Amino acid sequence: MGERKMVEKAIKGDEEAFLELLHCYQEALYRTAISYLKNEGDALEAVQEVTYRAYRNIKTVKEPAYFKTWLIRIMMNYCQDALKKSKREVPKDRITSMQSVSEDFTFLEVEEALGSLSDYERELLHLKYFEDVKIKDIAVMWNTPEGTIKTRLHKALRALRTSFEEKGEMKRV
Amino acid sequence: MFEEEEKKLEQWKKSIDQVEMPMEKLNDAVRNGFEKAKNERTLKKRIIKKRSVWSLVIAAILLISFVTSISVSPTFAKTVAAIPGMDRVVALIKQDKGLNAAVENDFYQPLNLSQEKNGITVTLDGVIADRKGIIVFYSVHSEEVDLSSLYLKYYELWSGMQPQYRVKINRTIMPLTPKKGMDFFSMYEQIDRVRLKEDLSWKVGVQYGDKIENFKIPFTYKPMDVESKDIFVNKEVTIEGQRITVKMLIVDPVRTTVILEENHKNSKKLLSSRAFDELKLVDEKGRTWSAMTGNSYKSSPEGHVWEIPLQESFYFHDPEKLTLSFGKITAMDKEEAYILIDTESEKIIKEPSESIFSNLQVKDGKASFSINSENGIYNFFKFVDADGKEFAIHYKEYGPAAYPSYYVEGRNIKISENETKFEFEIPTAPFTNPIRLDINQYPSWIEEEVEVEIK
Repeated sequence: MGERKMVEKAIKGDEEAFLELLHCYQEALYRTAISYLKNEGDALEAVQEVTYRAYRNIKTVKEPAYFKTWLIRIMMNYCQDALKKSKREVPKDRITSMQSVSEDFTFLEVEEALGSLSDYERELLHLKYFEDVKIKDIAVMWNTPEGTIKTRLHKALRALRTSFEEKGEMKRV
Repeated sequence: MFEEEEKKLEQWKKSIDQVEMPMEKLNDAVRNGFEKAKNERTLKKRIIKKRSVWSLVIAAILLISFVTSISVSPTFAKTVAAIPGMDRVVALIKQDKGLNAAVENDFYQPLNLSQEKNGITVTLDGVIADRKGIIVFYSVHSEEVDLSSLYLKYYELWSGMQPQYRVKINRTIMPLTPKKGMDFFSMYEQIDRVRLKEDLSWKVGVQYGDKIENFKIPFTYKPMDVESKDIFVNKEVTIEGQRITVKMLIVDPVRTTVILEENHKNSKKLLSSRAFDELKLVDEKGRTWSAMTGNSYKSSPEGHVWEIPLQESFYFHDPEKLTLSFGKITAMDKEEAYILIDTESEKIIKEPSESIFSNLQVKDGKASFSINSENGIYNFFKFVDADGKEFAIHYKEYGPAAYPSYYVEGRNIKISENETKFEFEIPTAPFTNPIRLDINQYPSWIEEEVEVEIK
């Protein structure tokens, strides 16, 4: 069955179609969760919660073609909230394998820079570079002109650059 | 232009792509989330049905009742463990972004007051309150009794010697929890539009077997001292020729209410508590705030101003842009919005052209007719006889009657998925046929793609 067909069935209340779709995207959801939350336990909890929210709100999916992105956005919203909440908490065990991937690149640097962006900017970068969603599609989904999305994307990248530079300067000092 | 940044992001993505997938746990997570949603949906559906009608007795109430089982991660539980009962509260309001934010902003007041009777403990966990209402979090606990054999009979909020708010659950249709083997269950009720004074008590009746245990827990609280963030709109729209003005949004920490006014010259009647079930607001990020279904409210049947509470408040979210859309609005021609019946000849004299009413019968001092619609409850609140004499119709589920004049008992009996029988007592006081019943609910809608810029 085509994905579109399946999403349409899920919207109409077909539970099997819904479950199949979710299993199909669970890895993407988990990756997104990991990219924000950094540890397995929280990420799994996030996937559970997002499945729950998706089921409750399935009727609000307007365009079946964007179903995956719709899920990812629920996940990002959840993660942003979870991060705000966790500011009060003690840091948790992070997944260490992520930090030693490449020597000429510091994972922490990017992560810290991303953390300094607004929710909106981070969401935008995530969709564009993590999920490879086209600017054109983001524009349609957010009901915003393409030009505006591009401007905001540039603004976000510039903010990222500033953050990298500040970091560099601190190192030199 | 931003090659370096883009490259770093690419690398970052790659490193995350290499993270190991705990496939089995992931499968479980999806399944658990799905099960939870499904359970809750069936529970909530029943609750909403039961309560989807205006209560004339306590007209000014608003209900939200969410029931959910408790599942918090051990890590999160640890961080909220400092406050007794807090974990339950957090689990309960997880899906409400407005209440979540209220809790995060420290508006939750823990109380943790318990009363134990015959092995059953009711705990008032805490409240969130502002000047307009209160949300009460409470739970039932028992080591001895399986909670699936307990039934909630009523809950009431008292101020001094007066009940300010009461909901009675007549039939034992639903145990506290359908799950066997549970010894703990939490709930919350949002109570709005009641005047809260001193000396408050939360009262709950729990049925076990034939016995009802009554719990009364006195408490004090401080309403949070915050300003509303009201938005004045005053924009008129026309939907299938019907004029509706979006007056304003009342934005409080725990609730957001949309105020609408229908033009009194409109040819259609907007139909009762489900009129604006599909109304929603969307912000610049695509976040949605939907109307609480079955809770569109007019302070008087003759009035034109509607209040539509949203399921969640956006008080703490401060959206930059907000767009309101209506979806389908239940409405029917004013001229057709009644049914005229004769209880002597047992005939329906006049009814809407697309009729869903049939089979009028008079038997044992009661009149009844069938309603063919899957939408269930079509409560009629009164009937008027040929001389203009009014008889209120009272429904036992909604507490004691408080009418000044004549009233009769009425009730809905579900016959099948698509058929309900509505029955009411024929008054003993004299009256003249035919009698007229105004229709408050009907499968008829108006719909047009109209959006209102709120901000």
